[in-house]
Amino acid sequence: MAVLDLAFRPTAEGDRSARARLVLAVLAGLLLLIALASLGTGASGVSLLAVAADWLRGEELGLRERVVLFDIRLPRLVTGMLVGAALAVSGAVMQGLFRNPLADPGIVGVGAGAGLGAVLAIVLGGLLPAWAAAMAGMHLVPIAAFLGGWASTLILYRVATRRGRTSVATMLLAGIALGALSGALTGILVYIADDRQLRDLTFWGLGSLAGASWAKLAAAAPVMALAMLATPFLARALNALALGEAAASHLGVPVQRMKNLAILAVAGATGAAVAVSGGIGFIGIVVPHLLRLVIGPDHRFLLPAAALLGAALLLLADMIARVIIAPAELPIGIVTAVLGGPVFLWILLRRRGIVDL
Amino acid sequence: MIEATDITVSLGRQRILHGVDFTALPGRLNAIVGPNGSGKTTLLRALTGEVAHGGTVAINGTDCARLAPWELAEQRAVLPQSGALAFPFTVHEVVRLGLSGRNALGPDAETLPARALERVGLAGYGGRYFQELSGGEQARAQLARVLVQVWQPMVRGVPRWLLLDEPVASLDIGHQVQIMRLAADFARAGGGVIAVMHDLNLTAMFAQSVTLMLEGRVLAAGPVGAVFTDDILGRAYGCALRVSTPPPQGGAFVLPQAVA
Repeated sequence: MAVLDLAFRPTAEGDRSARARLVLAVLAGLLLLIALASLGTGASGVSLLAVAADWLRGEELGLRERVVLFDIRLPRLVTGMLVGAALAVSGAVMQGLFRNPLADPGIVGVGAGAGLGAVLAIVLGGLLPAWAAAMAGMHLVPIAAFLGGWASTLILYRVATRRGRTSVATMLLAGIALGALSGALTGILVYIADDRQLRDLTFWGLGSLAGASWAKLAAAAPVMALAMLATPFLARALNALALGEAAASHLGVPVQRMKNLAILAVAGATGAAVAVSGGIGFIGIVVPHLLRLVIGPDHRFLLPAAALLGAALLLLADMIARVIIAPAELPIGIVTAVLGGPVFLWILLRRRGIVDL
Repeated sequence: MIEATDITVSLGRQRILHGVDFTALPGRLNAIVGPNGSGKTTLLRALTGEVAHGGTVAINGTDCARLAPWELAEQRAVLPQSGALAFPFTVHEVVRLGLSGRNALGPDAETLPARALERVGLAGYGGRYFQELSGGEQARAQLARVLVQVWQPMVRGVPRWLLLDEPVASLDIGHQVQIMRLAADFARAGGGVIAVMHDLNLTAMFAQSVTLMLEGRVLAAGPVGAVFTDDILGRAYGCALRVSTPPPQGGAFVLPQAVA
């Protein structure tokens, strides 16, 4: 992979913005292609080309085609894109916030915190007073996941950051502790769950897009979309933060407000993604890292590029998960872990020479 | 003008600054000197708001506490003593970070990073990774970023400020002189410069006004000639020092006296 480093050396002027715009355009095209491929792939054998040909000839879509395309594949496609983008963007934002490329919601326990929130809502949601349950409605699980992720991020930042400096060792260790604690509490909840809840939990915990539906999407998509819409406002501030909190403040960044917004965005995007698709690992750490090699760390380009590549990679992983043992399917979390784990190890190896963990 | 009144700073139970008053006028290079641990860097950090302090700091007549970060950033830029950087930014991208607020809007804004790099002697370094530069080159790249932030020393008659924490500490003598000239030029064009300095000779050559700190207090402040005397410097630094004025330059030169 040293080839990547060499192939993408910056130009003599050091301005990579033109290259970044090109990469953004390429990624958008790639995402479109993968989305079309994903829409045309599936156990039912409904072919997108055949459907398109029928439609061009002016024929009505059959009921089967309509259900497969619009009620099964399309919500799954949109969910996959949103979840992939949310995971990659929240990874990039968190890495910018902690000033460290190893920070990732999945690794430092934020995903587990969001998971705890979601499980709490699934198992104990029935104990809520009727008015609260009515108010939260379908949004209960995403909101609970968001709150869990938010609390975890907040605790992590407080523990790991002192006077504007974040200790990597403390961050990773605190993340392990938080993750273990959330996992244990989740375990207790699973223990007291009834059979129906248990089925929900197992399905959700494996990390899969198989349960995607318009209803679930309607509950989680607004949170993910809001969180991602906040990130363009963070880009310049995250760039300045690379110089340290004091220097960022001297560049005119309202550091404290920006940190609060970043933590909310990470928690929102991660929480909602975890709520609809369970634990899908490594997208948040691999996508920003690969992009930094090619277009550099400028968050004005890194964040949108991460959204596009994250969406594309997750759709690709989902296609692999669907076809590799068809007609059954693998949980997508397994696919991303198998692909992402080695890349993560490679990142660690690369950094070993540069910084002491 | 930057005016600090009755600045106190404590770290834990230890008091670092004991009610310091400090005034810096624009159009001058105002140096802060003193032995190690005298509180000169702490004073600069109080001026920039980096440490919690008692007393008030005003910039161009407004209390800094009442200005938003972006309002302060338009009036002054701060060069830190050491600049750790996360992520592999190129030198150009680091210097470009200085383009903030109104600076980023001008028609020639995108040319400023290259021009600033040229002024600090790093022309052609834009495409290098910042982390691959030597310590002295990193310090100069950071200075270029700070210069970009306050490119015009005066805006509508209001001076802008450069606050520099030991700007030449890691540089060789040629670059020391180059950077001090740059700061002096900024002051001559109407801007204000406050620099924490270690080297008394460079201070004597380039500063118009000196504040000498000792044990968290101002020992002496004023024009270089009034502060740099054998007696005052000897008291501050605890060793015999001889100040001489060689004919060609006219500035004070400080030489340590070997005790026989």
